[in-house]
Amino acid sequence: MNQDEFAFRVRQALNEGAERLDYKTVLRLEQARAAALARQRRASPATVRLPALQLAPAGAPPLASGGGARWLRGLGWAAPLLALAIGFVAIGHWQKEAEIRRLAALDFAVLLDDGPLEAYADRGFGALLQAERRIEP
Amino acid sequence: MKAGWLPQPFAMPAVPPQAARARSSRRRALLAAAALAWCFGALAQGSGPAWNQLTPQQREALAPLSGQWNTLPADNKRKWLEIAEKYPQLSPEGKAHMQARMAEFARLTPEQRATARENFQRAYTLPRENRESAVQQFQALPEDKKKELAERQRRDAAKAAPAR
Repeated sequence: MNQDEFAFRVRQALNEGAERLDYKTVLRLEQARAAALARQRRASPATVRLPALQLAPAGAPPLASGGGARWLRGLGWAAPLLALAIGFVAIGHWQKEAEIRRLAALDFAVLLDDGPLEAYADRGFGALLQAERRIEP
Repeated sequence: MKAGWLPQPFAMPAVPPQAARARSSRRRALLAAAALAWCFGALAQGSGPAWNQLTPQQREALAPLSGQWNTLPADNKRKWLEIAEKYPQLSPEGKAHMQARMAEFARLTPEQRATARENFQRAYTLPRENRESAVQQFQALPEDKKKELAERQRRDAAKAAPAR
């Protein structure tokens, strides 16, 4: 009897044995299986829902990792929204500051200049300046 | 030993999953709303510092604006404070000259201030003689002629602006 034939015969014997089990044994086996599964379910940590967009590495165990990042994951979909909002405010603030600095530098120069303010503030003076520009070679 | 670093499977509150889900969703919506409110709050500034909140140095530099300071918009105040920072670097003559023009400049309308900046920049693209010549011509003009010139300039600017 070669190895394959031996394996086949063992399988046959086991299958026949299983089929011959009486219903009480089958019932007990099923109950034991159900009890074991229930115990396993109770012992395992509670299911933790993770957001589709999560900040931690996808493979990291959710509860075993540091508590510091937990609140970030708790934010779920609000986290990218929060980041976007902070980004918008930062850009807006930066642009406004740059514009204020530009105006301050320009006004400082206008105030230090000797040219008459009432002329500068008049659009007609702008027309005269343009005319001077055309004369200039 | 830090308990917080250990898995705590039995410390989870016994809440039905649906209720927990609804609560966490509500918390997220609240956080998102708070973030948006914070954004709007950050964009809409207050009225800026009051005159009596300025440092003595700032008050000295901006003395000609003392009467109108508290009515200025916040951004305008920020700009003047930026100017006040450079003020101590000026010579005594420079300080006097700047303060003499400060009140006059602050009295201009926003449109006039914008025109002043524009004309100032335009004037400095010309040589000194041409600049002075333009000033002399302007000061010699009668009022109605000045108005006519201004009107023509406004029309030209409108024509030059790209059609929308």
